[in-house]
Amino acid sequence: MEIPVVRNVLEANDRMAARLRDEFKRCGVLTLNLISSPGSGKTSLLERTLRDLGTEFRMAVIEGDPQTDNDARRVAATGAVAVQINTDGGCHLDSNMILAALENLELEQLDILFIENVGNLVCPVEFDCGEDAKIALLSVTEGDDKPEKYPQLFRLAKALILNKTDLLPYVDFDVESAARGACTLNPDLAIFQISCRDGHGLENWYAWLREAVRLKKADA
Amino acid sequence: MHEISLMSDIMRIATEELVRHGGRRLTLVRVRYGVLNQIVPDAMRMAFDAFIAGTPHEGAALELKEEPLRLRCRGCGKEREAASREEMFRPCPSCGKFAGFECRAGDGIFLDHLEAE
Ligand SMILES: Nc1nc2c(ncn2[C@@H]2O[C@H](COP(=O)(O)OP(=O)(O)OP(=O)(O)O)[C@@H](O)[C@H]2O)c(=O)[nH]1
Ligand SMILES: [Mg+2]
Ligand SMILES: [Zn+2]
Repeated sequence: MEIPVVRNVLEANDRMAARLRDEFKRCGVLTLNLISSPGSGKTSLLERTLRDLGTEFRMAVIEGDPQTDNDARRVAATGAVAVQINTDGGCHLDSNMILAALENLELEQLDILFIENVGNLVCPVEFDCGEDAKIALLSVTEGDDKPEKYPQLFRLAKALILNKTDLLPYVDFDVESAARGACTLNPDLAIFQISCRDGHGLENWYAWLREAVRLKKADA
Repeated sequence: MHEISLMSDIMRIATEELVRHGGRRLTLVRVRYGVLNQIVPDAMRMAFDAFIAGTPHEGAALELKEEPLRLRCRGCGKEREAASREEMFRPCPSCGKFAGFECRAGDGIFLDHLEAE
């Protein structure tokens, strides 16, 4: 017996993500999905952002990790609400995990919800979590050819954060070339060069966040 | 690594369709995925074998089809088939610009066809 099908394999995840997106919109919560390789500085960026904008915005974080609650504890130390999801070795978060995490959050009391995805440049990109934007992080110790090697993330992200610029004098990372690769894939990509260590460039990221929150509230 | 969760979705959809069509046992599952989805065929096969082991579908075949990229230039609107992912980093051959592009094909994972008895 032949059964012609043609069904999107990710349909169940996409459906749940659409429901989450409606809910985020209803509550006017800007939701950002942070994606990078392990160690690019996702948690460090969150620690900085939560401390620096803590009086301006009500923020919470969903932390996805294969193991441990280290990152959730680092985030909680800033005073922000952190919900840990352990994927038990799994390489990405999906919309059902986000739904489960929302049980522990008051969306109506939030301006920004950050999702720190599992450190991985491939898998998290395919699983919509209902976010407004994927934010790609790339640190200068990883090599400037990552947009060529992992085009899907850089194509779909709305912003690219080049982190650890304090280390530029010590590594052969061509910022121009990384930015060119990413912009060729994605001409509308916003690019921020920052250092979570010395704070360089963070103001530009914060300005982008303020504008994104404003647009989200206007749309709610 | 995401091949395991993709395969779990594939088998859920496949058994749903099987039941709907009154079949008992899958003999072939055909999956089509884009060049952009960075799927490792061997990982897909391993996941498939693990999912069907000890089920009525044991012995079924998995057919994987990689779909090539089709890019549509945002500048001039011309569509082109791209031989490889590297093509995304070259200017549009029609207008010579880097104006960005839409992917008309080569992005997406689909369960395309089943055979059953
Ligand atoms: N020199 C330097 N080090 C940094 C910077 N940002 C982060 N680091 C260091 O990089 C390491 C990894 O940072 P994390 O923030 O834990 O990275 P992550 O992306 O959250 O890592 P995973 O959650 O494990 O994927 C830590 O030792 C940080 O102190 C930076 O701007 N400059
Ligand atoms: Mg982290
Ligand atoms: Zn063109």
